[in-house]
Amino acid sequence: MQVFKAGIEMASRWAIVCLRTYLKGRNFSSSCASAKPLHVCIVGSGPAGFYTAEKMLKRYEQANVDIIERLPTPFGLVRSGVAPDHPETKVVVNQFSRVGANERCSFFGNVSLGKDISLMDLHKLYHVVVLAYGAESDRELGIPGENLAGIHYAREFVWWYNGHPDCRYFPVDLQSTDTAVVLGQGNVALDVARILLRPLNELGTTDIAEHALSALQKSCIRKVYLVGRRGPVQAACTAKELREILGIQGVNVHINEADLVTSSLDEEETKKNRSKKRVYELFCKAAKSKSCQEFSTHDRDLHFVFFRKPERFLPSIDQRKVAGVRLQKTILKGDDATSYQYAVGTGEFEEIESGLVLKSIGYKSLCVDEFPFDHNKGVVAIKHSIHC
Amino acid sequence: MGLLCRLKTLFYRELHGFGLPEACHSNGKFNWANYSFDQFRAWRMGISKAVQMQPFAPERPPHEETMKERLAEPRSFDLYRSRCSSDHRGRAVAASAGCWLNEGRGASKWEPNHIISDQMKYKRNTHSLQRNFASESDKANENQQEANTETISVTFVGKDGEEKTVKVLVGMSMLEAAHENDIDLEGACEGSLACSTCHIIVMDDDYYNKLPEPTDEENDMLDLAFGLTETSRLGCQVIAKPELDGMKVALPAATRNFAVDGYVPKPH
Repeated sequence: MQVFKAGIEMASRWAIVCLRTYLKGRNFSSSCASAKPLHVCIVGSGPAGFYTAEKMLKRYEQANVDIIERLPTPFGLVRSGVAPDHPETKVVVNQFSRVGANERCSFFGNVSLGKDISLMDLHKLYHVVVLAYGAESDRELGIPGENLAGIHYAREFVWWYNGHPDCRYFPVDLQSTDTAVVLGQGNVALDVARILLRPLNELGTTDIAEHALSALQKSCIRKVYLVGRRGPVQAACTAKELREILGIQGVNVHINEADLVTSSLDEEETKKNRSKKRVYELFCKAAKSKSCQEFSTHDRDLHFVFFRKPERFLPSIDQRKVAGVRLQKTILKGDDATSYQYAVGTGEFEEIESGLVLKSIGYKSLCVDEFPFDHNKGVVAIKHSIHC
Repeated sequence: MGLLCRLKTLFYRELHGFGLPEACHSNGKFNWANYSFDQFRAWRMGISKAVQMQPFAPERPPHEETMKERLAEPRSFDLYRSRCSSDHRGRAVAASAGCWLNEGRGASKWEPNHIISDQMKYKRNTHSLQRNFASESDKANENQQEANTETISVTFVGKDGEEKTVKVLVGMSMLEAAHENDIDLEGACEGSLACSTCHIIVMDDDYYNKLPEPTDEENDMLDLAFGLTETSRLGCQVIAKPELDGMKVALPAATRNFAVDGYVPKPH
């Protein structure tokens, strides 16, 4: 769910900037009985877009909201990002449908900002334009071998099993290897690992895409490594998803007890943040319970690898496909000013053999038209920092 | 002249160059029955160059087969006024999503949220059924207080301090009670423990202690709640019982769903 962060933060800040500029210019008063209609255009129909529309419609009686979306169907990440075995999260679609059914709200599918219509045109037609199109690009690792076949972005894999039209023919090969390495330990990484390891009879009852289900039926993946460059306290996943993946039937979970040792800075972090504390406790509980089992009885394995950052990808003999990942061991170094802990390489290396690598290290937005854009961070550049 | 007036004038001037069939009657007047103003507006913005325009036919819902055919070709979709609602067009949109999501299985695949929302409706209907039944039997047994008619009094304190005291049926959750009384408590996942938008703060420690311990699932969701306190609970999990009569609950200043408000992504 944290994947929606970039989108909604951007959308709400942009909405407020546009709204304030408009209100300043027009002396618009929402309490004035004879006020003119406020035409709002929201670019993007995911949760950010719909929540913005809902608030706009509620706040201003005269607001007319048009939501434009580049796909023919709405709801964005609710449809293409939420895992198929989490149908209860998708119930929010009902709330969005109620917003869409409002007579002051319209939805236009298959309209792409930048291609079909420009921001200048939208400015001419609408009083307020909100950019809520999310982050459809990915952060790069920038290490050698990143272009090898078999290395994919987790976002594309998630779009593939959720049936997104852009990734219908995603070239993922689940048959040539029995090991998958997922770089990152956020909720998306856990989702991807869970879909790879979940028993097929359970996946068959979900709304996973047909082509993905048939590919997973033929899949040879039996081991998944979740690699994070820092420790269990810094893992970006939340308790609910972690609890779910630790409890999958037929999967042995491997956690190295040595990774669970905490420093004083770690303890400070867990004291400040309740979510991190519970995640860490789940890791400890899982490590203790699994270490009691000497013999693995299941055929699928999930390994949590902490304090390792990828140094390079190892090519196969024909130099085209990936055959493994070389990881550098790290230790945490605290920043006294921010009490933030950075992962610093130690110069010791180890390797994991794998034919499938999924990178789940974060997202970047795309610059679709001519407006100020920070290409380094991958976000729309906003002059004023506004909290709403 | 207002923005829409200006557009309409432009539109009438360009009738001849409209280029769309059946747009005008033989007397030159625009055929509003076939086209919506929004379609014109979209065409006017040049969108029709990328997308084929089809007449807007409010009485004829797009047939699912036709939708499947249309979706077989990429990028030749129609720009139609699609409403994401439960009307026939809304379901057609959902059906088309089901088509490209699941070739072969069809739209019936996209059912989980309907199943869950049906369960919630069933739950609500059960409550109202109980109430109806009770009101009839009350006439017969006036002194006997049946458990399903018993109500307790709960006060909701809004974000701006405004208090509203409501009667809550025993067995009903605080989320349902808020919705019945038009209190602004969002329940994005409709009570299925998948969000933290029904977060409420129990103002009195005594009442908080009378509530059963939150489950792990509820605690997982509370972790993400905005403005979490020691006496925070999820409204969908707090079920009214006689001991909670007179409870006061506060709504937090904001809720968090699918995002973290004010969150500053920290660099790794």
